Amino acid sequence: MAGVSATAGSWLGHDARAQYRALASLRWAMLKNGLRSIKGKFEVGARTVAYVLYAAMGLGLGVGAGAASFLLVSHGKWQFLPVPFWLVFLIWQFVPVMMASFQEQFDMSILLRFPVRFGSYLLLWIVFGLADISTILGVLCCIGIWVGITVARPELFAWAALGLVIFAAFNILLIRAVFAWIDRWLAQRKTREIMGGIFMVLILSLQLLNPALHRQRHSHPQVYSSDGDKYVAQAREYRQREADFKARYEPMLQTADAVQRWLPPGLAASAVHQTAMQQPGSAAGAFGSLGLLGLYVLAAGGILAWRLRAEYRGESLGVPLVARRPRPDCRCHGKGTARPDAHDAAALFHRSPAGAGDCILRRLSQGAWSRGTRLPDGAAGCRGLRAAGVHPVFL
Amino acid sequence: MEIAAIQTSSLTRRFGALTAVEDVTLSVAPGQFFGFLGPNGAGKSTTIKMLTGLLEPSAGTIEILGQPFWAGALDLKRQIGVVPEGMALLGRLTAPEYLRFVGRMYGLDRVTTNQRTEELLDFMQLANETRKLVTDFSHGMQKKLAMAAAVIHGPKVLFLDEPFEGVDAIAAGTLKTMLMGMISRGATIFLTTHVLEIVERLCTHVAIISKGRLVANGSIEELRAGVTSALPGAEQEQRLTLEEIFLSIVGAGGVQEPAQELSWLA
Repeated sequence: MAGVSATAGSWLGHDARAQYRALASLRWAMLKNGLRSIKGKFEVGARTVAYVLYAAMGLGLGVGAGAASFLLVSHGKWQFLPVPFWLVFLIWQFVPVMMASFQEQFDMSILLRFPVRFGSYLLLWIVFGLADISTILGVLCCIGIWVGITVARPELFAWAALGLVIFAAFNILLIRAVFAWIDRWLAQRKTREIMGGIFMVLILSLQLLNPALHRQRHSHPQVYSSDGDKYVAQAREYRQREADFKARYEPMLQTADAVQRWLPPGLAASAVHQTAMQQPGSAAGAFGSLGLLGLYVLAAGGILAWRLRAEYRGESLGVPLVARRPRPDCRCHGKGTARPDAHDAAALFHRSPAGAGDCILRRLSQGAWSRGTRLPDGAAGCRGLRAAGVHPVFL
Repeated sequence: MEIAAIQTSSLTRRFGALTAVEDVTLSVAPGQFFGFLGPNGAGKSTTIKMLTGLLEPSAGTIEILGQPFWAGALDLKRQIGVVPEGMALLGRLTAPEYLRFVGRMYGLDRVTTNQRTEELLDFMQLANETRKLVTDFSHGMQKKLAMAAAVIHGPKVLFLDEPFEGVDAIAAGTLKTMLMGMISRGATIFLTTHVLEIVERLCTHVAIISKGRLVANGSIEELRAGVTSALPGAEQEQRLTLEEIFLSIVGAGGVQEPAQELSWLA
């Protein structure tokens, strides 16, 4: 045991920092070694292109969110300010689930055989999630919203920044907590099949949205005697439809609005709104909203810590570990695997819970590729490119 | 009274309705080379995972070097080494990079890590393969690297899950030399393997697990005596091999006379 440091230290102590440095060196060495083969170069190249595409998409979304926030704040349409926050929330939480397999999921469980403190384990889990696509998109959108609000009302600069930072922290912790759970669930074939089915239904449903929404317009063609009659009839029809819509959906929308005010995106928007009102008690209201948002952050962090604590202790949370065999289509080590190829070896470290979307994409592409020349197996990046082509449809 | 290097009491692990390990109580003295045997699926790897903190027991306790052991017992984790099932190597690293990573994770300083890395690579005859990625290693080379990673921090207790599986005679010889050296310096080794000849040659004590339950535990001579005494008088004179002892204890269920089964084979 000579040479082994005996100091326990904290999660930011000397030993822990040495372990963080070791992990950073490891990641660098793996990246560098990946470039030694053509396959690895393809993978890094494809990954880079995919990141550039997503960054461009993030910039577009950020500009859109910023413009929306600017217009809403400058025109005093405060009731609609939660909308961009909700869009950011949805992007942050749903994009990574759909494209889980593309992203590098650092398989932290490999660290558990080393003397790693729980605090370090938790910290690494969070830190390694910061470089994922959803966080990049989410942060760019948050910056866009912040810029939009600040340009419209410069005095809201600090409050908007504070609200958005807490909102971002909530999203990061929540998605890491979600991944901590679905990683285990998606390790089971049946769950992946069900998720794949849901994803397929979602794709098909989106295709049907347009005809469903315009069914009435096309199914009842009208004949007009003159242009004037036509416009009058159209205006009457429009007003009637608007009245019908209000009567039918307004109570629901009011209820939804009342509920969303108590949820994180609504709270973040509410904090900005209340600060902008500059009325007696509005500062307290803003503090209250931010405080409640802080509680959500703590709750998300608590769920993540609870899940990781169980994993750290070696608890299986009711899912048989014996059933947690590597998937045939997953590039993981299996029992007794003797010679993992470069892909397997990388996947051991970057084991990725298959996203439902990727399951579908993979199967579609397997069918397509089986009829032609299969691309080099820098497939994480290639899947990223395929995903980049598909996901904008959902955004 | 001597403190046991490894002590378990009523160790049990359930996966839903399946009980993989049930009520396993055993003790391994310091400096002992302990063989843990059992048929496939008997619960050997599950037991090792519990003993190394990778799996929480459903019931029972574990003590390593006299102290209660669990996943967060970091000081104890620094004193144990593991060659896990599947080796858990990182294929995109070279052997020196991997050993340096493991050394640093165990808390070795940089100088010691580098020095031990060189020594281990020399000893394992991997010094000429420092540019090659682990993924391009042969199975035997991977086993040697996994073993080097398990001992780089100088553990007092070493857990080996099938370290000789698929290893050629030369590599096995290297590994055995290193293990015997560790034993002579007071380390304790807990070994699971299906290669019974190796157990017979290296281990002083053996436990046999079958269907999750410990069915035999003692020195090889004790087990031999126990099995021999149950044989008919004339057969008591013969010296049983460990394989015969093992088959006698766990039962040779499923082993059929060649003439009766698969008669269509040439």
